[in-house]
Order: sequence, then structure tokens, then C-alpha cells
Amino acid sequence: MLDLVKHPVYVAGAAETPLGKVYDHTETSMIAVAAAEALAEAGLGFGDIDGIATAHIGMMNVLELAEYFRIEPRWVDTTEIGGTSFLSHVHHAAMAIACGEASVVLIAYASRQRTLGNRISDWVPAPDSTWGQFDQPSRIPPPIGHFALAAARHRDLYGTTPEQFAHVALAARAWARLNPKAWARDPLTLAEVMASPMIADPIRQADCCLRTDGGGVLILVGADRVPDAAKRPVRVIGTGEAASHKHLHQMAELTHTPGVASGRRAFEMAGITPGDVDVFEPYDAFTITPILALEDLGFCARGEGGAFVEEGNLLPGGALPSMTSGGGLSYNHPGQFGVLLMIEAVRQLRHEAGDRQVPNAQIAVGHGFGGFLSANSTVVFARD
Amino acid sequence: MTELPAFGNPLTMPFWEGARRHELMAQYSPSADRWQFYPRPFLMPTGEHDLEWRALAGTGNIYALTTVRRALMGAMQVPYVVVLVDLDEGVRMLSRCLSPDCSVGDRVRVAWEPRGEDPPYPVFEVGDDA
Repeated sequence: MLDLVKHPVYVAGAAETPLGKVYDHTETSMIAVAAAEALAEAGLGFGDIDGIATAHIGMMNVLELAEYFRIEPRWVDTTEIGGTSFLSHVHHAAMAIACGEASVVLIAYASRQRTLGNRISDWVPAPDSTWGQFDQPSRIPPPIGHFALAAARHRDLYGTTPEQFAHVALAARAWARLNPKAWARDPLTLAEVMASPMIADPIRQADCCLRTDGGGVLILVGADRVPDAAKRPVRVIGTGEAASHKHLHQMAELTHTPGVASGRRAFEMAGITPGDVDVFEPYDAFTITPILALEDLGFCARGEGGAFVEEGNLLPGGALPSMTSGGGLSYNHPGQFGVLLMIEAVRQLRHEAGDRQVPNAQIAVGHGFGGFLSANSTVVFARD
Repeated sequence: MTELPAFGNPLTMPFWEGARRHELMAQYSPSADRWQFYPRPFLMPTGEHDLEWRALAGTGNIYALTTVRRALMGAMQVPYVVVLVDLDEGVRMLSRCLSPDCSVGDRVRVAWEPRGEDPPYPVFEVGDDA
């Protein structure tokens, strides 16, 4: 069993790749640039990396990263379960470090989806696959249609209003306005969100995350490498994950995600309750996902996520500062947001988040969504 | 079997053969008294091997729905309604509802959308008799 008290694990480096529109790099060189910055924070070099985890950057590309850095890692992880993959990588890397199978792990992701014009809805499934036979012929546009069904279900069960969904986007934008690296920093009003075009009821364009280039890396180490660090390492004190399905029609209840289990596991390992959390970084792919995350992790009662957001709790100065980078909705969304939400958690706990710094933040929780409400991973970080 | 089916895969052939007869098919385990959709080699997760193909009544209720208003799926004309339907036997299917004013909970009945050479696709309609 993973014991993060007996075997402490730290994030010793955290850096974004180039963000926004990236014309002067490949995904691999984007990762190299970010890794150099994160390794400098950790006081380490490429030659110290003995573990690499990555996902959604192409088949066998963990090998390309090893080759690119001219290293031969003894531990690799290509767990690929959507945007939450990277939070699961933290869980797996912590196990590897705790049992001595790796000492310096790089977790990496980059995408040029905006520059290259990639869209998930353009994906053509194999005609004899389950998706090709029983999902795609409905002409549900992935992933918007899938999340729209979940948002509609939440509305139908709990009366969640369009305005409550909109307030998630408004909270993200309020934080983005404080982040110089955010893609969307213009003021945003409730009226503007409500006037944005409906794409798949109840999801409007303003309820959807950005489509940008970007990515990032984390460097995870054990206690032995902490003295090397140039910047204050942040402790990983709890991890948990759960995975359930690929096809949304196989999910029993659309408002009850695997995040219930992943959150419980991570909170139990960390020995915390929702009231201990200073900063919350939920994966805001669509405005429904932070609402589900708030309920699944117990920050509010089931069905009250919309009201909790509308009360302003997620805003700067609110009771639960959330999506503090501006999130996938307003800061950056390079197809998979998991690494970036953890980088923001680390920066908040290092107290280096500038205008958007949450005062005296001690505990931050990252909570990822993968696929079509398919998998969740939760990571609890602490200022050491 | 010496060649792959022209449509679907070996496990799903009975579903699509049923579709050509306008019968909505699913697997049923008599010993467990449980239905399974989509098809697997045995009942999951308990492993009963007595699965047989039976026709569903083709009626159920809308569990969730969304009206797609932006054309993101090729030539598909918007708007159209995507639904998750809970069939009366206890299995759920993703499809479209042809009744534009349908609502969550509505009773629906299967209808068959022609697809040329391919087997027809099961969609749903709101119906008083459903």
C-alpha cells in the first residue's frame, strides 16, 4: 500500500510548455523546453530522469521522449485515460518512487491542436467497433454531446439552471483576468455567456473549454532529491483514481462519476476533509465538470453544485478558490488539461501565483476527468 | 466462420440481422434473468455462459437528451435530438429521437432509419402506444 508519510514524494519542478498558438516547435521540443525549466527548479538535469510518464502524444512517444533526451529510463507509464491521465501518472509515479523503482520522474504532455486544426469530432471510429456501431451513428458530437447529456441530466434531476452553469465560466474568467498567461482575459458578463450560441442543450459555446496549443511537465522526486531543489518542492500527500467505462451509454448514472471513488481514496490517504482544502483545481472541460467535481468530492451536497457556484464560492476571495489559473475555460486547454491544473496547484502552494495567489494556501486538490466521464484521478498537494 | 461479416463484427451480427427484420435484439441470460447490451461473449461481470439473443419490446423511456444545434458531424443536418433511452428490459441505448419536442421521461418506441446496403439503424419516436 502506498504510504506517502513513510515515503514522501514531492513535485520538485513544474513548468508549462509554450502556450496559445505554437508555430516554432513540435510537441516533443515543447516538452523539452518545459522539462529544462522544471529540471532547473529541481536542481537536476535530463540525465537524472529515470522515469517518464506521458499520454495522448502519439503511439510509443514515451520512447521518442527518452530518445530525444538521450536517456534510458528504467520506468515508463503510458496510462492513457483522457485528460486525467497525468494525475494518474502522479499516483503511479509516487508508487514507483516510494518503492525505489524510480527516483526522478518526468510527467509530460504537449499539443498543437489549435495550430494543426485537430478536432475530436473529426475522429472516425472503426465501423465494427462498439463506438462505430452503437455510439457514432447517433451522430452525437464527441465530446460536447456526451457532456451535454450529463449536464441535461443534472438539470433534469436537480433543476440546475443555465445561469448556474454560466457562473462556472464567469469564475474561470475572473481568475484568468489575474493570470498574464491566460488565453481569454477580457471581461465576461452573465449576459454574454447567456447570449453565446447554443451548441448542444444545455451547453453553449461559453460553457466549453478553449482549444489552444500548450502543455506542461512535472518533475516528481523522493525525499533524497529534495536538497537539490532550487525552488521549494511541494509534497504529494494523497492520490486516488477510478476508471469505469468508455461509452457513455454504459454509465449507470451520469451525475455520479468515478470521481466519488478517486476523491475518497485521495482524501483518505491525505487524511483531509473538504474543509481543509485551500485551493481547488477541478478539470473544467465544460461548465458541468466542476459542478460534478464539487458534489463528487463532497464540497457541497449532491445536486447543490450549481447553487454552490452561483453563490460565488469559486471566485477570487471566495470560500473555495477554484480554477485559479483561469482553467480550461479561460486559461488554456490543449486537448488534455491534467498537467496544467497540477502546475497551477504547485504554484499556489509555492506562493508564487502573483495577482491570483490564494493567501496562505497550504492544501490544494487537483481533480481530473478523463474521456466521457470515464475516469477520474485526484491528487492532494501540500505546502511542506 | 471463414470471413468477417460485411457489417458489424461476429458478436454483433445477430443484432444487425434483427435490425434488417426491424427487431431490436439483445442478449439475455435465463439463469441470471438479466439482459445485456451491447453483446459480449458471456454475461458481465458474473460470467454466465447461457446468453441467448431475444427481441426487446422496443419501448422505453428517455433517460437524458440533448438537441444538437451546431453541425459538427459531417453532413448531418441540425438540429437533431440525441437521446439515451432506458429500454423496458433494463438496458440503455444511445441514439436519436425523431420527435423534436420530446422530453426527459417520455415513452418512446423504436423506429428504423434506412442506411442503404447497411442494416437499418434503431432510432426512437415518442408514441402514445409506447
